[in-house]
Parts: sequence; structure tokens; C-alpha cells
Amino acid sequence: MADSNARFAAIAQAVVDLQPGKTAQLVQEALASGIAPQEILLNGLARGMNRVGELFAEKEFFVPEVLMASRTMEAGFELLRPLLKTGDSGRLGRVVLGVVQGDIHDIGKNIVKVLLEAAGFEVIDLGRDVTVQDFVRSVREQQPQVIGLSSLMTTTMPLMAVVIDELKKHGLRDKVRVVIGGAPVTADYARSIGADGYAPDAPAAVREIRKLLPTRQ
Amino acid sequence: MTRKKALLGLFTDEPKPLVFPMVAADHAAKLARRKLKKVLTDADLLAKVLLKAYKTYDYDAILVFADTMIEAESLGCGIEMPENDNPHLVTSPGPDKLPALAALNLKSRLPVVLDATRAIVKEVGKDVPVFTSLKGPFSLASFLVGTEEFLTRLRSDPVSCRRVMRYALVHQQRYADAIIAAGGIPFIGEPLASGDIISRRDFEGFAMPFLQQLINYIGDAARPVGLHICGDTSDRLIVMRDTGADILSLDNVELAQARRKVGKDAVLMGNVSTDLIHQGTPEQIREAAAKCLEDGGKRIILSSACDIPRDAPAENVKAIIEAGRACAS
Repeated sequence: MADSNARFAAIAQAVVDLQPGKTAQLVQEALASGIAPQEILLNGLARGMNRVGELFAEKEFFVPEVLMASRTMEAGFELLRPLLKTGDSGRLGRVVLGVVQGDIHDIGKNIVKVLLEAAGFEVIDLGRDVTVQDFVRSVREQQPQVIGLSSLMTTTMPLMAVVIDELKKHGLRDKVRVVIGGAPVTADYARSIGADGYAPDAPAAVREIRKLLPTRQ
Repeated sequence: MTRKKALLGLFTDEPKPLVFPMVAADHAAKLARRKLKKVLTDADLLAKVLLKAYKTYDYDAILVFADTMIEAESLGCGIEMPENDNPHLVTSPGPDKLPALAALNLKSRLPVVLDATRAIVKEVGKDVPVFTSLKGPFSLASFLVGTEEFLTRLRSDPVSCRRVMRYALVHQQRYADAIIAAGGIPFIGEPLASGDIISRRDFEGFAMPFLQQLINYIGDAARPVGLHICGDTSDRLIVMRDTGADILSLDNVELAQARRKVGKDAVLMGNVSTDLIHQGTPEQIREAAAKCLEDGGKRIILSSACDIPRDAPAENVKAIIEAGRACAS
């Protein structure tokens, strides 16, 4: 046990230190020592990514570090993916993410995606410049518990309200929680358009989504 | 007194605040009821809508700013250009497939901006300072590599980042020459060097040295050179000042705090919130503008925090001008 904990700590640290080669090597060694892949994911890689999220929130880390950390986590995750039983990665629920139409700023959304996956959510990423229709369709077809809308521009922000209205029109609004975020978005705005949650940054998005799905914790 | 002299007055012992909201092609096109795509591809039309905005609002300097992709596109980036929205980056050549740096690519849209600059200078240049937007090497390099890839490479392969930045710098020096030859004063925009994106350490290590070289290169050929960086730059204001830029255009920064940090001699520009300009009332904007003027000290150019939003109501832009004039009188 002590041995496992030391390995988990080392893996988490290698993620925080942004060292993909070392992370992959440590994951490989942990697997070889007989530790279950989901344990390595949760206690090693995800713990490292959580720390990265905290460092980002504290302005110790910026976008380059988060992108590099996600690449680092991926180097370890790649080795685990084929070994994980299906369902592990989505054990906390399914989230659809997308940046609204007309908006091509997706770095924030990508960070949210990485942090959500590391936390144990299944993420369906619709990408950027996503039409209202595509959001509605994905809610109908993928049946996520949560849909996350991002807008980085005041000009595209009103589309988030349109998505919510369209979900209502299609009878889907009560089937999904809507969380919104992005630089110009505020808690007041989220309330005013009838969203269920709002997140000022990526770690907050993970917290907010966890909060909205209490039965699954 | 001409507006050119008034601008230089900011650098004397008797500075008087000026008003210069950043009206780019998108807002100007909307104001003139023209399709943005047409405006971004036609020098005469670009000049025409920018002059119309200038005459409508009557501010103290003109910014010739088409869109963010102008230089990147001329160097091989693929862009998508909607009819009525700003173009955005779709593909990048990548760090190893950059076109050879010969002369400026005049088959691109660079001449749209250069010819528009020339036309505006011809019409009002005796009286009014005409600034022309020039991307900073850091942001241009990020477009050439692909934004996410470039930012990741700052950690995984910084050598390749610096190589592309040197390339971007050489290009921007040539483009600056062309802007100056057209009668424009370079106004550098470095959106990717924002405090919301990179750390102060990366700003100092990557963005700053190239900005400094670009501004040094421009030298006395055109002054005063502006530098706009988006987002919260409060932790890097002194570094921004030390690039040698004459005008520091600030987005999401408290001006009183900025003034304390950079000292009384620096000329600050900013920073009425673009959200407010887009969605607030003229009264709210006059209040915010008055606070900028109070907090910014005498060496201040009252402006928008970032580009005036395309759909901002004209009366809101007018409210900025009114606040500036009320302060000057």
C-alpha cells in the first residue's frame, strides 16, 4: 500500500511537472507492479490534473502549462485506456461540451474537457462554432446529464439563451442540466437565461457539474 | 491645433487627455451598413467605412484595423471569412512549413490595409494621426503554428517557438516599413500575450524581447507606437512599458493601479469595458469613462478596453466621446 501511494504521488507529480515521458514510464511501472489501471487513473493521473486545475485557478499555471499537462496526462492515459473496463471513464456521468456558433475560442472549453475526463466524466466534445440545432440534437441522441455551453464573446453569448429555449421547445429542458461559462458570462447572466449552473473558470466548471449531480458521488 | 499636435502634446509637460476608441472594420462596416466581408477585401471600402465612423463619432485618431488574420493569412494560414463576422483561423502552415520570407505577399489582403491607410492619410492625415494595426510577433507566431500547438510548445519545444517568432518578427518589420511608407503609425496588438493566457514569466521570456526588437526597429520612423494587450495585464505593466511602446493600451486593468505601477510619464490608453459599450446605457458609459479619466491621470487616451464590439449601439460610442470632451473643456 505504501508502495502504491508512493507511485501515485510520483505519477501525480510527473503530471504537475509536465513530463510526459516520465509519466508514461511511471504508469508502466505501476501497471507492472500489479496496480489496477483505474487506481492509477484516479489516484495518479487525475490527482495530478486536479492539482494542475488548482494551480491554474491560483494563477500559478497558465494556458500553456494546462495544455502541456493535458498532453502529459494523455501520455499516461494512453497506456491505461485499453485496460480500463468500459464505464470507468464515465462513472460520474456524461457531459456534452461545446462552444456556441460564431465563436471559435475553445481553449477554455478544452481545459474543462481535460479536467472533467480526469475527474471521471465521459465527455462528448462538439467542438467550437456549434449550431443551436447540433446542441439540441446531441441532448436528444446522447442523453447527457449535463450540457456545458461556452461563449467567449459578447456577440455570441445570446446564443446560449437560444439553446436553452430550443431545449424547452423540444421537451428536453428537464432532461439535462445546463452549465454555462466563458469570459463575458456572469452568474447573473446564467440566472437570467435560466441556466442551472455557471462557472467562471475550468476548475469551477468541474465543481459546478459535480454539485449538479449529487446522486452520483 | 491639429489632432496630430494634440497627440504629441501627451508627451510634453502639458498633457491633455484625448479620446480614441478602437473602432475596427467590423463596427465601422455595420455603422455604414456594409457587408463586413466586402469591407475586409476592398481597400477603398475599408477606408470609406473607417472614415465614416471617424466623421460620425469625431474622435482624435483613426485606427486602420481590418481583422486579426491579415498577416497570418498572407503567410499561409487558412481562414474562414463569414459574410458578416470576423474571419477566423482554420489551418496553420506549422513551424516547419512556413513560406520563404521574401518580399511581403502582395497577393494577400495586406494591400487592403496598406491602401486603406494611404487613402485615409490622404484625406485626413494632415490633421489626424492614423494608426495601422500590426500584430505582435508572439501572436502572429501562434497563428502560424496553430494557437494550441504553439502554447503547448512553449513548454515542450520552446526552441521552435523562438524560431517561428524570429520569422514573425522579420515579417512584421517589413510590414511595419510598408505601413510607415503608407503614412500609418504602427499600433501593435498582441492578444495572445494576455495575462489570461500566458504567465508573466513567459511574457518576459518570449513576447517581450520580440516586441522590444520590433519597436526598436520602428525607431523614430513613426511615433508614437501603440501596444495593446488584451485581458488582465496588471502583473506585466512594467514589462509592457519597457518594450519601448509609447502608448500602453490596457484592457482589463484598474487604471489607477496601472498609473501607480508605470509612473506618471507613461501614456495610458483605455479602458471602458466593451461589455458596457455593447450592452450598457450611455449614462453608465459616461460614468465609466469619467472614472477612467480620473484614475488614468493626465497622460491618458480615453478608449474602449478592447475593440468596439461590432453591434455596439452608436449612442454608446458617442457617450465615450462626450465624456472625453467634457473632461477636456
